[in-house]
Amino acid sequence: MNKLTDLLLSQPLPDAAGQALLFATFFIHFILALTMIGTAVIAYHSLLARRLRGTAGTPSMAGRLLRDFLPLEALVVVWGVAPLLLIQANHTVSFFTAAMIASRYWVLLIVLLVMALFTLDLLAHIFAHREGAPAVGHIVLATAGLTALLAIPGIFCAVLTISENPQFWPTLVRAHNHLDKTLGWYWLARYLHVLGASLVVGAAFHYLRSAQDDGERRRHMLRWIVGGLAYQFVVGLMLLKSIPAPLGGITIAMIALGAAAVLGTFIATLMGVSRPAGGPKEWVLAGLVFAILLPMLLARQSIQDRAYFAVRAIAKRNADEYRSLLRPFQGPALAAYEQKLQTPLQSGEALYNSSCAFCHGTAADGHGPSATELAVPPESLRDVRTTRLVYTRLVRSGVPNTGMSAFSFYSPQQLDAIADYLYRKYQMLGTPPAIPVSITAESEREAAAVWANTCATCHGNGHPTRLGAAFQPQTPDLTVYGMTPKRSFDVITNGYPGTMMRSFGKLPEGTRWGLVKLVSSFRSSHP
Amino acid sequence: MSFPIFDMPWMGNALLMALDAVVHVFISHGIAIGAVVFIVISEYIGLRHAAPEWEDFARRLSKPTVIVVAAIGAPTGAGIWLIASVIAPRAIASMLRLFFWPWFIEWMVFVTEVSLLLVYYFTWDRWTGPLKRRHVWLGSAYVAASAMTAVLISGILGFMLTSDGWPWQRRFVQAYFNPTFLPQVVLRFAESLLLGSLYASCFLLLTKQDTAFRRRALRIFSWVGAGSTVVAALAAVWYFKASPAAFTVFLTSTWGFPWLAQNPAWLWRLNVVAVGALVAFLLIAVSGRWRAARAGVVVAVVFALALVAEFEFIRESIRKPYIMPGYMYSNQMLLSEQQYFRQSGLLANSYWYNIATDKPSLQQQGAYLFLQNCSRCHTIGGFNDIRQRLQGRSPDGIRVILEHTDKMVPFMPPFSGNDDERTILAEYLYTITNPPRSPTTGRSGGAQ
Repeated sequence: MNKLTDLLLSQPLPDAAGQALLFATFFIHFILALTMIGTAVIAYHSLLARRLRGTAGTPSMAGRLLRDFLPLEALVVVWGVAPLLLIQANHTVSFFTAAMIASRYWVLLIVLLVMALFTLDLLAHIFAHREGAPAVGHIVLATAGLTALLAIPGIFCAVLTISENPQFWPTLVRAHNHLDKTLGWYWLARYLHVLGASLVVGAAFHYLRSAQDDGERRRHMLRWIVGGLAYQFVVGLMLLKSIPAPLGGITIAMIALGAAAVLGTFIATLMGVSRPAGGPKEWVLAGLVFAILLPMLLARQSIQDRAYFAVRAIAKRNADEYRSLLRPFQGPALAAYEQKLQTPLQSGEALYNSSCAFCHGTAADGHGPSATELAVPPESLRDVRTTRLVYTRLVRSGVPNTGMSAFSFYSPQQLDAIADYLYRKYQMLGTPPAIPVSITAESEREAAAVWANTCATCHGNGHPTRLGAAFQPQTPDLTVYGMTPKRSFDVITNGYPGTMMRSFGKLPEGTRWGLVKLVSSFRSSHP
Repeated sequence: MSFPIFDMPWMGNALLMALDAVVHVFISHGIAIGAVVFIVISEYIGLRHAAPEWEDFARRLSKPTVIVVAAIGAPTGAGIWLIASVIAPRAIASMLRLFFWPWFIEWMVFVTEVSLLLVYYFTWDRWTGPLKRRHVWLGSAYVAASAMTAVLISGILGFMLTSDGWPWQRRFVQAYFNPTFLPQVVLRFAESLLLGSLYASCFLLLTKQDTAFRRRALRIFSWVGAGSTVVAALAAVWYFKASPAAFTVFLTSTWGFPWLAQNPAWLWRLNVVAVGALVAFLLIAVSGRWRAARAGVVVAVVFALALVAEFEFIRESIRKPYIMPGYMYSNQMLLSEQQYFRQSGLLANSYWYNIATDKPSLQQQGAYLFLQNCSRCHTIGGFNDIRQRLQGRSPDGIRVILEHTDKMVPFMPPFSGNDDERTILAEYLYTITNPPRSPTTGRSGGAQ
């Protein structure tokens, strides 16, 4: 949570507005999400019941419930975007740290979402027209869709649980992002509590919406509510016990208010179940559910806020510090950026100077600033006399066991432009110039003998032998890859560091020039 | 760094994002905007000319449209953001501050859009007779809202390539109304109409329809499609003209496929084939030859989708090495921070790394340096495999390459870290590229 960057400091909204918007949009998203999940669970149950009990002939309740799934899913997704936006903007460190800790599950969200929504929409489409009992395939499809759907709140619960407990972050990160026992129980209780809430809210929604003129179906929904509330009471106690931080007075008061509303709802629905005349009036039930959710979510919010604002205060201090630390680097960084933006690498020269010169040198003499760091020194390109084909092959695939990279990410045109530049400036493509010294016939004979006894082992007759070709870096093919006489003389005299080419400085100078002549002739005879 | 890090093995972080985003663009542009335009047009023609076959067509097309938009389009759109939250938390959180209001307004439009679509879909049977006109208006309002979301996001996407004067003056207007904003808006509109016309033609040609109606509708749809193709082509040219040459110079290099960089002509050839096939289809369709059009419609859709995907891929590739040009590199290092890390080291400044590891081995240090520096684009053994890129390099060579990544490969960010860390990363990269040979089997270990 240290090293926060400057942009992350600004608060786009004043806290009061930001928090109010966050609460309001989350409230709407949450109720919609509970309704959607509850709808899916109850519909799944009725599909299963029809399959097992074979109550064919009665109108399909699953079909009726799932008719609302599509609008619900669309609204859940859009209303979920705002709280995510606001929580990321208002509480950057808390949210992103938690999302990163839970990231391996977080990335599954997208797959789960598409799988759940698409599968359940498909089922809704099928059961909109189907009255018979569901086939096994339908049950399998529904099971897959529901499983994916139920996993989603589990992931969000995990992220929120982690984000609200910064004191656990170091332990979590050290434990490879696995929840420990304390947080694990807290997460489980929270998740189970959300699922329970979805049963109550989903059943209440359909009590109001899709069971209006069907007494049996209304009682069915009331039974879900009664069962759901009983379950919520037990899981709620477990949740209360598992919260790792001490609760504030306001939080406890809110929970008490919510619990009172739960009791009221429980009594009202229980009476409705037992009386055949029907349950509570629509507005009474809606009001009761609202009276449960509002204080409960406020309690949740107050727990969250305490943790988030504490983290934000620390993060802000760190960020101010970091900003002043980075300030001296900002000017140079921007200047470098401007330079890069304004010098597109369009010419061969520009490409060479950017991509090659740091090793081969701006003067192409092999003495770039990084040349000394390399075990096999970069070639002095101004002394090379080769063909375009060999150049291209070499630049495209690199030289094994050296720093010379495969520049295969450049286009052929770009590689050609570099070759053209090196040819124009240094005659890199072509044959070696004349030898600047005169060589006696005896030196030439000696050179020929040395060549046959020593050099030819690797260099063959200009084309490398199998032994020479097996080296890494490999022995060059002297018929297509030559050098200026001066450079050849230099390599023969001093060897090529880091390669199998050793120094032959002990040979008489004349012999060495004789070897240069021999080498040059290989290249010159293959223009 | 500010947050613990996430890494998608094998597939890589970039490809993960690309897959989700491309699916989203296909649906958000082609269906949520495009197809609905043709539904509303058809409904309007049905109303205007009292033609029930048009009304019937529109209604039948609306069901798959709404399901795909709600069940795939919307979640994959949120998915872009969900994925960005973990593969680039610093970048997305920074852009969230910079573009809070465009995003918040986009959300409001998004809520309006989805609500309108739902009302439009579910009132089809109820708003009939005198209410039908209102229904068509509702559909038009939906189309306007969905087009608005495409406008709103274009400023942010444009910023990621052309941040204009923002890095210096830090003014919102410069960042949002940047040089590639408008061409992108036009391109996205044209793309949407083209894809929409093709989807609608698909439905028209591949489901049971009256022949006379099919011919008339196909003509109208494909005229719109042909016009959109021309506009899209012009907008694409405009877009590339508005992009700085420093980026477009490496158009075929930045995709992560050396083969493509080496054979750029193939990209143009494939484009010519795709555009040619599309134009051929549209010409046949405009002439009303529906049997021939039916034979080619799926191919036309595939090529159109490929062109759309290509544009998104190029747009996301050429912005490299930046994710917020002038401010943040694509590996989430700030430009200024990278210079600071050169002096003071990356590991010492990595809060979560230091909490997670006690006395880390060189291997662990190297792995972490790879994660922070390279893993936003490269994987080990998967997409854009770093081992392939470094095959054959010596350890000292890798160390030198690391010092000059941004010079040698102009679309790569520079290395963040001090010289010791550069050595550690070089050793690590050399080891994973050349796994030690097992003494018993003589085979290399790590590669299997």
